[in-house]
Amino acid sequence: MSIRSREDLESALRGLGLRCSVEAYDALAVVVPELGDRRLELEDIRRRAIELARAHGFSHLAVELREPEQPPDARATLPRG
Amino acid sequence: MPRAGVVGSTLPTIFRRYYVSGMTQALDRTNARWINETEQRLAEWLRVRGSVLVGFSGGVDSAYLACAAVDVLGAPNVLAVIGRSASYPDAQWATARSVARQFGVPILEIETSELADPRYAANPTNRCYFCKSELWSRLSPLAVERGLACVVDGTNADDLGDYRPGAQAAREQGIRSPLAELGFTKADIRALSRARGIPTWRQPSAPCLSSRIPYGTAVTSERLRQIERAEAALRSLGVAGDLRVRFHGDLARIELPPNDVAGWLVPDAAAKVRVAVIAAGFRRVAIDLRGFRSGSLNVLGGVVLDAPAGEASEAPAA
Repeated sequence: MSIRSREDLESALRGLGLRCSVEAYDALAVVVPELGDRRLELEDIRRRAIELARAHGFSHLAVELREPEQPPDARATLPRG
Repeated sequence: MPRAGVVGSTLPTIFRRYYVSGMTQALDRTNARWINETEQRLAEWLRVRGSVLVGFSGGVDSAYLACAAVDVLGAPNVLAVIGRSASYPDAQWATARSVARQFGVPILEIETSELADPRYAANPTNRCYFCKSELWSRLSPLAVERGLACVVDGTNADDLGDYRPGAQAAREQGIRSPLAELGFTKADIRALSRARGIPTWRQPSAPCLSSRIPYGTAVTSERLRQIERAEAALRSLGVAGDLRVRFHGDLARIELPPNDVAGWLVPDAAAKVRVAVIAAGFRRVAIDLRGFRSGSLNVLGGVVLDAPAGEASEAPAA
């Protein structure tokens, strides 16, 4: 039985190349990816991430869907005129 | 007839290989002879009772059982009872009514109040026991009042291997489960439903909404509605097959069919999912990377042991 460690899982996922933080809720680990990191769309990365989560004591691994960062020119500006 | 042992039940077709008396043979559930012989076994079981009250949710199993009972016994000898409460999804209710209308199944709707029971609302690992106790304690006297010989449910043979505390309540109230007693598996029931033209044959399993809330987290009407809104919104986005929105406070953890996970992680699709689920009342949204797992919260709650991706979870040894 592995000892559950959020920090160790976060470190292991970073070792996979994921730019992320990890939050833990009992046996659920939630990956919070840095904006723009799309590596979890790759099947092999997902599979390895799940294996790492299990190895670090988490039965469930989820990835948070973050609000996309708006490009600077899309931000509200006061109309001139 | 000896019971056959399943040696390859994960085959993705309607064929399954059985080991019978030292020989391996393929079971073809589209075979008319198999369908006829299997249904005859159920018909004989029902004829012995003469009349039944069916606990009817509109799910695959109870829909099949209710339709078969009407066919065998005639509508005057069957009553399908729908127990409505906050944990029962509206979509399921609509399906139940539609199937009943299409197949001439007499129905009665009653309100059940499991959420008013603090033992249920506290959401212990045996939560289902209190729900089913409430339901069956209402239906058993109703069967007597209506002169129906026995109360039956749609439990199937596969269910017997799962962690199901609700089954204890059924046993205590003398509820019979003909599909399980005759060894009908879920795949059998889907095939038999298809042969009868019952539209639920390909419907995903649909346990009550409380099954989305981790054990120990209180079940409330508001949380159930929030989950129901989120799942309905995801269906409207095109999510098909098994879907669960699991409640983790502010966070919704979405379980999708495993083969669909990648598609919903693509930014455009993920953005739609996020907006839909936040509109339902959650503040944060996450997609489970392993996808849908039946009894997922039993694993999270430590009721059953975790298994590697792609394998079924196991009941603990003790």
